[in-house]
Amino acid sequence: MRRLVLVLAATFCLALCAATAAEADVFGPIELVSAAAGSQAVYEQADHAYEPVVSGDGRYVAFAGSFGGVSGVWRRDLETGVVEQVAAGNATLPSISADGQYVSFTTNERLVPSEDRNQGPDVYRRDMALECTPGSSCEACPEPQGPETPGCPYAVVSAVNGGEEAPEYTFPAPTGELSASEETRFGSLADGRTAMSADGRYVAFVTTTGSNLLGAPTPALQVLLRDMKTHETKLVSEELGSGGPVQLTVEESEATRENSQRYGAVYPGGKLTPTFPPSVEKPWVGASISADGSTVTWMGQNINHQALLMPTEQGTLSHKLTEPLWRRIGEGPSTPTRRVTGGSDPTSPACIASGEQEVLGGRNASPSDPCAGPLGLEPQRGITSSEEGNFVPELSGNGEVVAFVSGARQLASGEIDREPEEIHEDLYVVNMAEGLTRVAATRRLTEKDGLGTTTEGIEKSGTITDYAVSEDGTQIAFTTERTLYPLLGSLTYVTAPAARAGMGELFDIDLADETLTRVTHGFAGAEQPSERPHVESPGSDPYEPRDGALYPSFSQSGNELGFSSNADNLAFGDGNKESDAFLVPRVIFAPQTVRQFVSAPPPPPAIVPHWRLDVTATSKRNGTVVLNVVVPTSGTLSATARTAVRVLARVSSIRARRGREALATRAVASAKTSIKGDGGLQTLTLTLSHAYLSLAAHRGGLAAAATVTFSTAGHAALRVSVPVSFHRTAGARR
Amino acid sequence: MLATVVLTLLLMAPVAHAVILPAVTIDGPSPDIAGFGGVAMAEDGTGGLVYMKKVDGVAHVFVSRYLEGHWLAPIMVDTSDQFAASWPRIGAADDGELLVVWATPFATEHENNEIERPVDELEGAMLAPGASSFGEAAIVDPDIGDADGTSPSLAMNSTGQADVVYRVVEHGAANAVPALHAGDVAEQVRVAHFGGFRWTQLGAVNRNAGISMRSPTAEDAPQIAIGPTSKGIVVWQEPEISGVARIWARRVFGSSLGYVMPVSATSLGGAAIVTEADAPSVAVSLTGQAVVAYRQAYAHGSPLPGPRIFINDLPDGESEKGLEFSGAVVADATVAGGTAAKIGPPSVDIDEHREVRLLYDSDGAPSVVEGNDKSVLETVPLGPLFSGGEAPSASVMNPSGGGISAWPSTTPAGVPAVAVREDFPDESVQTALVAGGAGGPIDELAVGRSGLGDGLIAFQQGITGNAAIVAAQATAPPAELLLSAPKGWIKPSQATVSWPTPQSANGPLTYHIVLDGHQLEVPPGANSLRIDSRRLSNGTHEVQLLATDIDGQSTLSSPSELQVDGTPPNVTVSRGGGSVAVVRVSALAGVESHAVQVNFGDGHSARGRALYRHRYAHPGVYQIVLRVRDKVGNAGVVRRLVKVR
Repeated sequence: MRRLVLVLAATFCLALCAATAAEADVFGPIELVSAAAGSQAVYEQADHAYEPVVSGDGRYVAFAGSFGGVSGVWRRDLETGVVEQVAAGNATLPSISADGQYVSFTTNERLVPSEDRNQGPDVYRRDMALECTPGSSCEACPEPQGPETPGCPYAVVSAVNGGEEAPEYTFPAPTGELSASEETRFGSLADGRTAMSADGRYVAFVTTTGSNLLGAPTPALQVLLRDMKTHETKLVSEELGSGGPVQLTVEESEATRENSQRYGAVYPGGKLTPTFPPSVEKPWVGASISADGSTVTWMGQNINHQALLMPTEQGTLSHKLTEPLWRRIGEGPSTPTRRVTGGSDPTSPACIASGEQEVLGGRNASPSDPCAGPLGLEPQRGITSSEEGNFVPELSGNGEVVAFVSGARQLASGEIDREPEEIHEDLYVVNMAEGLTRVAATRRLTEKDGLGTTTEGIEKSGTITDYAVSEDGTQIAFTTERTLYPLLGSLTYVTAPAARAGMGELFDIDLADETLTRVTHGFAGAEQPSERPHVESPGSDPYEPRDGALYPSFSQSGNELGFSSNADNLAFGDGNKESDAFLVPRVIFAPQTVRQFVSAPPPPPAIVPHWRLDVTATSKRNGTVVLNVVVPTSGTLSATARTAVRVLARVSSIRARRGREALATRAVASAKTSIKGDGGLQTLTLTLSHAYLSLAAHRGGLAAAATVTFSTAGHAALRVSVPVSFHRTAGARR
Repeated sequence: MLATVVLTLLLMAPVAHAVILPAVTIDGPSPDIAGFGGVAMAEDGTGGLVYMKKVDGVAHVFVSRYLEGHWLAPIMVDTSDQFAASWPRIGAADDGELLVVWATPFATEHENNEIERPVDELEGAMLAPGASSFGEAAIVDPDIGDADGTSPSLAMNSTGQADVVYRVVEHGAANAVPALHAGDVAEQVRVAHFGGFRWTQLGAVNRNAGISMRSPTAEDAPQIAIGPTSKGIVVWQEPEISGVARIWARRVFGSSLGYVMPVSATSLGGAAIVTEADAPSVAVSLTGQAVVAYRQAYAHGSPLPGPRIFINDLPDGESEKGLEFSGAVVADATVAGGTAAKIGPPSVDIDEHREVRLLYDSDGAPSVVEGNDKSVLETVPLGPLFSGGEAPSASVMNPSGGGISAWPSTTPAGVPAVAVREDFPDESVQTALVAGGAGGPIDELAVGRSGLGDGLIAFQQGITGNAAIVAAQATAPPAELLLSAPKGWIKPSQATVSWPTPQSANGPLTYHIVLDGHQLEVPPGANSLRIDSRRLSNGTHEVQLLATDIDGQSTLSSPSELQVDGTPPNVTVSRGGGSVAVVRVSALAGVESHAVQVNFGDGHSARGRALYRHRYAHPGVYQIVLRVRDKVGNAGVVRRLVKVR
């Protein structure tokens, strides 16, 4: 076994790898934003805060709540930490323009007394660039001044078409006889977050009682749009054909009129008409408008009166059936309302070609039916079955992507035989681009995986309570207690769900990256679930429904995500034990340089020329001898050929001369060269001196010994002697 | 899509003679990177790595091949699969052959009429030698449950045979097997054999189907190794009836299984070990000798001083009976941290010389244990510390000595990187800290081994959503060289040397003949060289072979003698006193005496000897002419003048 060298190589070579920047669905620390901070001397947390909405530029967050016992809608400047009151009283359900200047909300406070004389809830818009009248605490514009007086920051959104005054709401309201308490509960309501276009010009809202909003009598449960610039209030949920409002269908209750069920153009979120103020736990009402103001979507009822269905459905479909409806309002009054999804798709080319008049619902539905829609037709329920979560469809910035929650069976995934009680809400997105069939356009994002109200059941089938779509339609945020997702074989977890079901957590789906990230977690780390005081009860959920995260809202870039939660461990210092507004930024990874260190490699095997001289000789026909010499390095190479020749002794007589013949060694040829570089094979050419040419000719060649000498500085000379032979040349004289 | 595929080298060009090359980013950083599956290398240096990447939102299996020292663009493997893949693993054989297995759902089943579970199958696909895409997927196992904890281990030899071991958690049967331990599951450890074209299921190998198994984790996953003759060995964790989890092994003979053999120690110094053994690692030598390393937990009352790595070997059956393991011994008695020491999963390798190399996280310090089948010889700390908990590491043995070690660590600035250390046969060392993508934490480190000391090091780096697949290579010099040179004296024209192609994972090799320290070029592809006669003077020369791989690493053979005689015999004439001349014929290669003829120049001549004494009748100068020849055939006519008094 070899002994290892213990010392790391001291020298490192450095390799640099510049990687490109990449975005990732990773979120940073959660910040509590329903608190005043920054330049304000005292850090003050809201008593409670709900329904946060982030401005498109990510600078502001508006929310409903209470500071120091003062309730209303508030706006926080995230750069300065300053919190301003938008509207006092029971104002709620804020939406905010992209630059934060305009905030819409619903209140039954008469903020412009000169124009708002009804007692019911109205939708208002506050211009935050205009300061409230000094001393008024933004409670209302003073009566004498009126809306036309410069400086009044409020404007009635739910105003009569062509004017600026709030409508007269007509009764009997659903509860029957008019009373003061009833009058304050019914009127106009706008959805939080998504009621206003990004520029603050358009605001969508719904009615909950009769009014004169359109001039003519306007029934309850209609979707309307206010153009704040032209003062036009127009009907969005037009009746197919007439262009007028969809008339109410009333199912009288035998017990009390209060329990009468009314079915208009828009689903009210339950069996009963919604009242004001909405529950902070179920703050969903109204319709959504896209950021560019081009599109409105709502959960419709009486859909056969609003959109094109199969011929048979058109006349028979139940008024109770709910489906998300969608309309391009920027394309003129004749733009039809379209179904987002549903049990049939009469616009599909295959359906048109088939000539079918109806599709079968329930267990008779078939995904191979050319007219079948993506979801099963549930005659008594429609798309929405739960009253536990958000039922208002949400839109991307240009209105092309619609997100909604549905408990209907998805035919494409084979959910034909599933019993209604097995159905739990799942999140869908639909692409409304032209040319797509509804089946092709619909994508299911979550899949429930079980039943029950036990902890295990909630883990797999907890309700999707709320959701939001980013401006570009690639991000879908949603809240749920569900922790186990089959992920439908496509999404990849970035941050895994909480280890156990409990509080509702906020998740983000990135459709561009196909990733799913759990956004909310305790401040102790990503593994910690959202928590609030509770009593453990093995096997059952210790929390209330809708405890935890709700109400997600994206900034325009999708890189800031606001939400509310009554968890008390999301941000350090949250001490009110109530719902708060939070903001969490997406982590944007800066370009990184990855450094690598690689030490110098070991040297290659040492190869050193031997200190020797190798000589071979080749006799050439031209009488020369070529010496091939391998030398170890640079230096001087020389060679001398010597041979024995006959010489005569110095005697006087010829006789004596014969006996005096002697031998002597004479140099007959020599050469010399200088060698540069690393040595190696060199050649030297020996040519006989002229004096010995005749001798070589006489002898038929001349044998000699060549002594080769190599010398270089610092070494003793190398010397080798080799026999050589000079050929007799053809021209040599004998 | 934000993914940026970085396949070209963004790094500095490899330095000459580099052996650890800087890492390259194979894919990413991208949110589409969905997991890393492993890396494999064949003896000839080809190989590949496998990972998961989402296409249209669905995780698919991708492979980047490694050919001729370069990583090629990733190709999709599971092209015919509709659903998401998981658990990809890869094996490599010579000539670029690759084998990949993975799990994918194909159906759903209902459990207790409530929970709907996917039913996965284990599939495999082969990329044949010379092919550029994978063939049709074949079913390895049609039902592996919901692929919960499958953790397959795939081993392939250079001839294209492979074994895979994997787990199948039986949710439906959970109630039928009493849980010995909280969280236990009903589980089968199954093995399948790939014979080159088709898969054969060998069934479950765990010894007792009635005993619950530990909940599947990466640390208790089964492992498998296969030798060149398809003799393999599978090791797994399984509790005894007492409930203590031990390590067990079975030989795999192609399509048949051997009997179950206990691997882990049940006692130490006479005291029972009642703590759990896990994290088995297995390697098998060319001759079939197997070595298993595993981790033994510590608990109060244990005879161990703390958690330890044990090592055990199964002889090859030739030198000793290979019927049972020799007996588990503590690999490293001296571990810092006492009873609370953090011991990482071991990685073990063995070579045909029965030498063993083991790497593990010894309480945060990477530690290599070297030894043989008889004893542990040396334990050496390596360098930069481990980072991250339960970090995987990998060790690769060089049969010529030393090896490669890789483990997750950090740079001096605290940035995550993979530490790589290569110990060379000549005891020199090269170290590196490699990283890629956009940086970030290291995950799923794996090393593919050629068996010749080379390693492909691959890992996933970066957090999910910004992860990249990164690969580096650490190559070994060409294996020992064999040079054939003529024996005895030869003429220069006979000086031809030859050599067989040495084993190297980094070919093609280039050669030089080193003659007396001078390098002579060898034409590409040649395995012999006739040495230029001009370089061969008479005498003894030293000749060696120098082989250089594509990474610039060289191996020099031991010197051979080359005895050259290229001239006719030498003739010396001396006076023997008076009128006597002594004529002596000599040659390095020896004189062919019977071929010697001499004419003394006075009318007399002689032949058949190498030494002559001739007396001249009259003084004078005479020319002696000789015809001479030596034993290698050098012949000539030599003339000499002699003066006689």
